[in-house]
Amino acid sequence: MGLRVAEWIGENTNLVRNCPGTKNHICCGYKTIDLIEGCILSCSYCILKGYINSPFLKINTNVELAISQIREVINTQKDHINRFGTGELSDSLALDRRLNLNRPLIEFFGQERKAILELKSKWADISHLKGLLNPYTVISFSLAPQHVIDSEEKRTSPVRKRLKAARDAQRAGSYVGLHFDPVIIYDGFERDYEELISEVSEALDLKGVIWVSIGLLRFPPKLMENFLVEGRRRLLAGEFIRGEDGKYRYLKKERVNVYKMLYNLLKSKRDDLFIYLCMERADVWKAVTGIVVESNQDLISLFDERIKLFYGG
Amino acid sequence: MEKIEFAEIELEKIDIGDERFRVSYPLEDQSLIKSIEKAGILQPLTVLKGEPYIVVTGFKRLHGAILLGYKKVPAFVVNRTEKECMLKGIYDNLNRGLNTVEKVRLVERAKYFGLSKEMVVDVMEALSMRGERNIDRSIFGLWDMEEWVKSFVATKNLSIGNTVKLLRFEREEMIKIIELLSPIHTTEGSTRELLDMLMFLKIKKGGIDFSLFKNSKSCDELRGRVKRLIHPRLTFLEEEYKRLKAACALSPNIDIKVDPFFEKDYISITIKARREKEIIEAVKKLESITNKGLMGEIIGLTSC
Repeated sequence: MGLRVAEWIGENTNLVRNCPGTKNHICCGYKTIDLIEGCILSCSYCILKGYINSPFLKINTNVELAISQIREVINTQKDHINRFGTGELSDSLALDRRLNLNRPLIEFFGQERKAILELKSKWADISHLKGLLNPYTVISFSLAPQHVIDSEEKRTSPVRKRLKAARDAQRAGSYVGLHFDPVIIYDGFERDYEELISEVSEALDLKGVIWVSIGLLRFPPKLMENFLVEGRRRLLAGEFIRGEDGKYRYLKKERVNVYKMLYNLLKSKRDDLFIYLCMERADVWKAVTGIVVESNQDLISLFDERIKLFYGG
Repeated sequence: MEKIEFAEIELEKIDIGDERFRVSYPLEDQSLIKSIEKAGILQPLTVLKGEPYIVVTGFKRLHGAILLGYKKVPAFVVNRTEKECMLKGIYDNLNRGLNTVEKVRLVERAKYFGLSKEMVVDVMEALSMRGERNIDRSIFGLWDMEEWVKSFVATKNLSIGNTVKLLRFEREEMIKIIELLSPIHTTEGSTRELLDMLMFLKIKKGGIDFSLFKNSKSCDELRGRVKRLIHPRLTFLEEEYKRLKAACALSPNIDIKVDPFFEKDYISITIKARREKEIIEAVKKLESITNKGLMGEIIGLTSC
């Protein structure tokens, strides 16, 4: 695949940032490490298409700079356990065999043992990282029924391979994260997700799954135009409203029903799974999980508890 | 300096079928015809010297003259290259308000006659068209499309964006959409919304049953009918909200809102008051409708 690399960002860039979150919705408060902006996987619904106005990838190879900024965050923000991720503005693994940007990060987090690095991906290739993996790097995969992958995530790895790579990561000493995001409502999606969750429970040791997120399809208005032009029938099957953050999302009552279904399915596989909703409202949280999460801080505290359970106090 | 001749030229010496420099659409212009009838052609045409002459600017005036049975028209005769003639046509037209058909034609002609890329971009900017890269190429086929499409675009004064949206439909669908939209008053925004909704419906259902929208008398009515198909649950919620509000029989100074789209976990109540008495009355009213259970039902619409 041809790689169009636009520029190498200079020395004085802020590479570590707070996840921007979204207005009036609860964010998990993780920090993004933005060494790459843009993604070669080009999923049809990808929110980056609404934000990044360039056909090129921007890559910064100055990992040392990123590490110094991460270190500063760890040393200054001690009231909670910091979680960092490279999967906000790009896929964490899709280019990593070629660019090798994760290696120094994984080593750093393994040595520091004070924070968590999460590599989020739809690209099932961790073979080059196997010898390096340690519990302070969480290998995460976005999961979707294979039908959805075939039509909307055409350049990504099949779900079977993602699950195999997640299993390999568990065996190599990492914890695993799972992200059912974006969940798309279409005719028969319930059955597809039921099968997918069964597949997950068979493929992985759920005891070693540190967290699971569920997020329903949401997107900025610019992507609605793309969906209409491209005739994305599956993506347009539901009913959309514009939320308080201006993004399109499914009707609240419908979101709650779908979350409940997925939450209960996942819990039926392992009751103590830590499941969080990505960018949702407090009332939706309460209705789905019964847990009162009214602010980002509430969710961050839940993450802290979970991490302490896995790593000790 | 170029020598420009002025002449009264017989129509039979003009190749009226040669429209290579034409930008104007439509040619029919009743006010211009009335003016010509009254005062004659005040502004001469521009024609390219030759046998026959080729019109550079003044297609509407020529059309008017033909309709009025003129034998001759006043014209400036120029001897220029085609590219120079097109430039003249472009700069003459840039000064008037062009409709989308004309804008597209102007850009297409600029390209056709080999204007530099920079000049084409300048022309597009002058026409308030976004950078060419962002414009769907299908729009450049507009001039060659059937008359009913061009006529609709020009009559409704559709923007470039809305025209692109219209052209994304199949021919048969376009006919039906034009039938639906032609008799009702629409704005730029409502047209955009309707075209998006119809495309949404087409994608969602695999096609559009236009018989469901027949005889829509207003934009709101049409929008409501389409919305019911693509957003049935939301429509139900909105109708319930409307019904409950009607049952509340609120005075004009009280309002209950569930914006945006029943997302919030609370409702908003506003009371406009100039005197304390109005507040007391409003609170009494709210208490009364709460006791009747109506407020609870409205809150229920926004809850999970």
